[in-house]
Amino acid sequence: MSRTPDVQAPAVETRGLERRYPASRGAPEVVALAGVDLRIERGEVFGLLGPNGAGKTTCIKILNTLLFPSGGEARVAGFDVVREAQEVRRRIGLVSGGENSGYGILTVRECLWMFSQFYGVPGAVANPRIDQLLKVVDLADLAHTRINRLSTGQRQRMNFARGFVSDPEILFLDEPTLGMDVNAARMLRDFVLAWVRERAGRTVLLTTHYMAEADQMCDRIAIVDRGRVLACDTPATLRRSVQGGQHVELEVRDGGTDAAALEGAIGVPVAWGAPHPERGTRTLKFRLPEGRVLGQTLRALEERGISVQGVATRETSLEDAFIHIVGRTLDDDAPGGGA
Amino acid sequence: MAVSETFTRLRTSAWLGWQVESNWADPVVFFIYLIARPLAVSLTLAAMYAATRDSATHGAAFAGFYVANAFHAYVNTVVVGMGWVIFEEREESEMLKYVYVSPMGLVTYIGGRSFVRFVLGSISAALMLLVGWFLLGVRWDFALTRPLPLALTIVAGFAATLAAGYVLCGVAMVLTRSAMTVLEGCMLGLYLLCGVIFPVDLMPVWLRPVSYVLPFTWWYECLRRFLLGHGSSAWMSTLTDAQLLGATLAVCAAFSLVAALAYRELDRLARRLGRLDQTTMF
Repeated sequence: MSRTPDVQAPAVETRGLERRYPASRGAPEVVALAGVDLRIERGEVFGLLGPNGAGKTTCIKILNTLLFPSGGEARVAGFDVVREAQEVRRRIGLVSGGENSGYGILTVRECLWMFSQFYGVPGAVANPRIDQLLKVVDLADLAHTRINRLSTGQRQRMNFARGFVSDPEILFLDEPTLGMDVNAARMLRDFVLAWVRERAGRTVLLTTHYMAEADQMCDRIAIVDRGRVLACDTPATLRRSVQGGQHVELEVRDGGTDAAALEGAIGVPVAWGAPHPERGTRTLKFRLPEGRVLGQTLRALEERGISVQGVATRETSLEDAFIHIVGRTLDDDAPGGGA
Repeated sequence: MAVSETFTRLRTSAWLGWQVESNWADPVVFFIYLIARPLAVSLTLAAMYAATRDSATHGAAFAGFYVANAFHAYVNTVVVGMGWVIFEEREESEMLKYVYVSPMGLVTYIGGRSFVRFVLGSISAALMLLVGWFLLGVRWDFALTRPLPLALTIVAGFAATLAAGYVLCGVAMVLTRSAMTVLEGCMLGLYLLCGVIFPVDLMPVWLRPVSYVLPFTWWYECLRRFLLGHGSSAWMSTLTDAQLLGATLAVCAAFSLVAALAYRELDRLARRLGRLDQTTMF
């Protein structure tokens, strides 16, 4: 018997959530989550952004009742994930990207129908929903094809559709577009946004490696690293957290001035890009603080014999904010990090 | 509503079980596979019997062990098969985590999957009994058969079979790569410990208590007693029909209770260790 949900409760709430993997076979103890506090409101698309080993997937596993926390508390739709796991399961859906999962002997449609039955969706609702999802993931023509004959990308799209077949209150998307081609990923991102917009109170918790995906989809983003939440806000506010100024990229012809000498000349830290293989130029990158005029900087460079061939400026990106907050890029592995 | 929902889920997972069990080959190959195993076991037992047929008591003893072997198909097919479901779901199809986090729950899912295993076990047992009856002379006098105790015995045995299956599911959840070895070991262990192929009295004295706490030892003895009219264990033969049936029901009930608790704890342990989605890429 399902308990009445507390509609006032946030979709997800964690307090001091911890998860430690004990030392085993010579490997040291791993602290995957070191006291995570999150509050995700209903109707939000919330992103967990962090480098490998930051603890994103561990967090998703705990919230999905696949894993016990070592400490702290986690509630989904107002229900405790440890003591009220069954109530949590009635309200959630899970999609993990980058997998090759699926019952090879079933057809795509059979697999989706089967999961609709597992979730207790009546046939009259399930069948048209499956038809719609097959169109969304562009698998309508392969509906009656066995899963073992699908490519990895097609399996991932089927897996994505499976997550929506129960029309869950709270959907966990763990790297859902990992390995997908650009068009499929864009189509699925648009579908998720439309799905949330059209259904009041539906919530999505997304983990992703793709900054643009997080920026485009998420109402709020938590930046996590080494099991801790370092920042949590809207993408715009996170971008603003990097001090103002302009990001400048110059294409220059240069005899080999070193970065330290240039920094002395123009008064800001600079980074050289790789030489252009055909034009013989290099990219010089720096952030110009507020109040500084670009023209003065360009003149200072020319006085040092550096010929500027092209100028490009851009706004602070989420990636800039991420690097500023975490201290490294998404692709840098965290030593001793969790899953 | 909840009952019909549970029934739908059981039926769906049973349907999946049938697809998994039967769909890997064309129907002819599957049919041959279905009858080959019980036929091979029957002929192996017959060869063993033929090699040692000089004793006058062997006819009755053979019938007893033959019947136990026929019903042991349930242990091989259902108990071990249920453990294999976990292993295959996690390693092969990588769907265990999705089933686990669905509101259906693993208990219902495994229950549905076990239904097909019961059907396959029944086909195997029935084929063995038919081969025994028509080809090997393993027959029983229906006048000596006691239908009610026999029916109760079968129900209790099936309950214990299901309970043991859940325990192996729990073990398979907690173990990763070694689950395969453990499942095979359990199959062999139960074959040797439960008086399937030789009387429990022939076991070392220190090992007999292990046999007597296993429900299958009692189940097979009851099946012999109530179907053929005689048992195989000297000690169990001293029990009256009522005592034997009562002991069997008690052992099966106690075992099922312990199995339910064990499954719950193993499930929690698997969740604590993070084993539910841990593939080993063996």
